[in-house]
Amino acid sequence: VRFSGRTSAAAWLTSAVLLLFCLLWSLAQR
Amino acid sequence: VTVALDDTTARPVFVEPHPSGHRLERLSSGHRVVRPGVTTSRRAAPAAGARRAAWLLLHLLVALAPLGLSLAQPRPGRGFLVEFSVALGFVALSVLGLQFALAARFTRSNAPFGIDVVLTYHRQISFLAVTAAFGHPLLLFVARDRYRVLLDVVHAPLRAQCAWLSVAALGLLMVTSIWRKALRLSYPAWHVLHSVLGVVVVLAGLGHAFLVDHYLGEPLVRLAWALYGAVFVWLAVWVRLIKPLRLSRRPWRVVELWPEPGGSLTVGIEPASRHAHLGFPFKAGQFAWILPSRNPFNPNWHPFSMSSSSLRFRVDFTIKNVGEFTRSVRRLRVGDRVYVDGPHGSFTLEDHPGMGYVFVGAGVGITPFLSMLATLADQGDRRPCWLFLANRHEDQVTGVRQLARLQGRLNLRVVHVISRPSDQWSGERGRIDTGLLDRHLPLERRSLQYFTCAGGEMVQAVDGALRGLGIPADRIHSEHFGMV
Repeated sequence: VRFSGRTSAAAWLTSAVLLLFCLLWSLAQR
Repeated sequence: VTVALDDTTARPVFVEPHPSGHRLERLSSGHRVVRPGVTTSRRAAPAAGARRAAWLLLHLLVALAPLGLSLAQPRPGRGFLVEFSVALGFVALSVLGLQFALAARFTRSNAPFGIDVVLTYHRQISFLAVTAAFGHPLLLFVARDRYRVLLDVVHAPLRAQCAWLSVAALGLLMVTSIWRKALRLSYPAWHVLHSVLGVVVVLAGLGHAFLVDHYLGEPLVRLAWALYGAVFVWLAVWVRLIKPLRLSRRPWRVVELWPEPGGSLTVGIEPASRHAHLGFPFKAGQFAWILPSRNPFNPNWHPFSMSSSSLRFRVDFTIKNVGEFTRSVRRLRVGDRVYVDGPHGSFTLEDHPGMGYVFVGAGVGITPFLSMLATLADQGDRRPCWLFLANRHEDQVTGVRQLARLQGRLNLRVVHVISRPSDQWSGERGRIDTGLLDRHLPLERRSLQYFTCAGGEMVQAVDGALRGLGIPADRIHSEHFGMV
C-alpha cells in the first residue's frame, strides 16, 4: 500500500480559490 | 528483438519493439499483448503537466458551478454573513459530491497524477469541505438570532433536520477516518461505513438545499441541481455495482504462492482463462487493488504493488503479512479466484526517466523495485542501477529469489544494509545514511534518478540523506507504506 506525492500545494490552491470565490460571491449578493 | 524466458512455463517469450514505444509481446499461447515500454528519453512527457492542470481546473469549475448558477436568479440580498454562510454550504456540498468522483478510481482522470496522489488530494480537500460544512450553520447562528431555533432538532422543520443529518454523518465520517486505528475499525468495515456515510452526507445535503428553496426557486437552477444529484447517485452506483460487474468478467487465478524469507508472501496470478482477457498492461512500480474472493461485490479490496516484470503474462504481488486482509491472503490456495483493479500509481520509471537509477528500500519496500529491475532486465537495458536494501537480519531479505534470477542480466549493484546482523555478516551494517550512500554512489550521482520505498520515517531520513549529498529534490521520488 503506498501513498506518495506532493499534493498539499494543489489542495491549498483549490481551497484558496474556492474560499475567495465564496467571498466575492457573498459580497456581490449582499 | 528480445527473447526472454517465461518463469512459469519455461518457454521463450518474444518481446518486439513497437512503433508507439510500447512493446508487442507474443505469448507462448500465440496471443499478442501490447505492453507499455520504458521510455529512454531523459524528460517525462510534457503533456502530463497540462493534463494535470486541466483536471484540477475541471474539479474547481464543477465545485464552483452551483454558486455560479445561483447568480442567474436575481433575488434580494440578506447581508454579507448570511450570504457567505450560504456560499460555504454550496461549496461544501459540491466538493463533497465530487469526493465520489475522486475515490471512484477512474483510470483516465487518475492517470496523469497516479491514484495515490488523487486519494491524498481526496483526503486533503475533505478538510476544506468539512470546514465549509460546519462553517455554514455556525455563521448563520452568528448572523441571525432567529436561526437558533433550528438547533432544536426534534421540532425543527424537515429542511433543518436534513442539514443536521448531513452534518452529523459528516462528523462521524471524519472521526472514523482520522481515528480509524484508534477506534479499532477494520479496513473493510471502515470502507463500507465510509461509503454509506458519504452517500448520507450528500443526499441529506441535497435534500436540505432543495427544501430551503430560497436559492433553488428558479426552474433552471432546480434542474441543474437535480442533474448534480443524479451524477452523484450514478457515481455511487458505478463504483459499487457497475465496476465490480465489469471486473467480474476478468477473473484471475492464483498460480503460485511463494513465502518470502522476511515473512511476506509473493502471489503469482494469471488470467483465469487465456481467452477471456489478455494480460494486464502495467508500468513497473505501479500497484493494483486486489480482491481475494469469488464474489466481486465483496468490498475487501486492497492495494498492493506488482513485483514482476511488466513484460510477462504472469503478474506477481508481494504482500507483507500484517492486518486482517493479509490473513485472508494467507488463506489463498493455488487455483483460487482473485480480481484485480488497476494498474494505478505514478511511481514509475516512465514518469521519471534518467541515465541511471538508484533504488532505496526497506523490507517489503523492495516490491516496486523488483518489478522495475525485472522489466529493465527483460528489455535488455544496461543503464547502471544501484539497489540499497535495509533489513533487520541478513536471512530475512524479501525478494532474494527474484534478485538471484536478475544476476548477470543487469548493470546492477546491490548493497544490503543489515541493522541487526549475525557475527558472520561482513557487509554494511546499521542504517542507510549520507555516509553509506556517499561510499557507494558514483561521482556523477546528480544525473541519476532516485526512488525510495519504505515506512514514513525512513523515507524522510533517506530523502534528507540524499539532499545532503546534493541530489536535486526533483530527482528524488518516494513512496511510503500506510493504509488510508
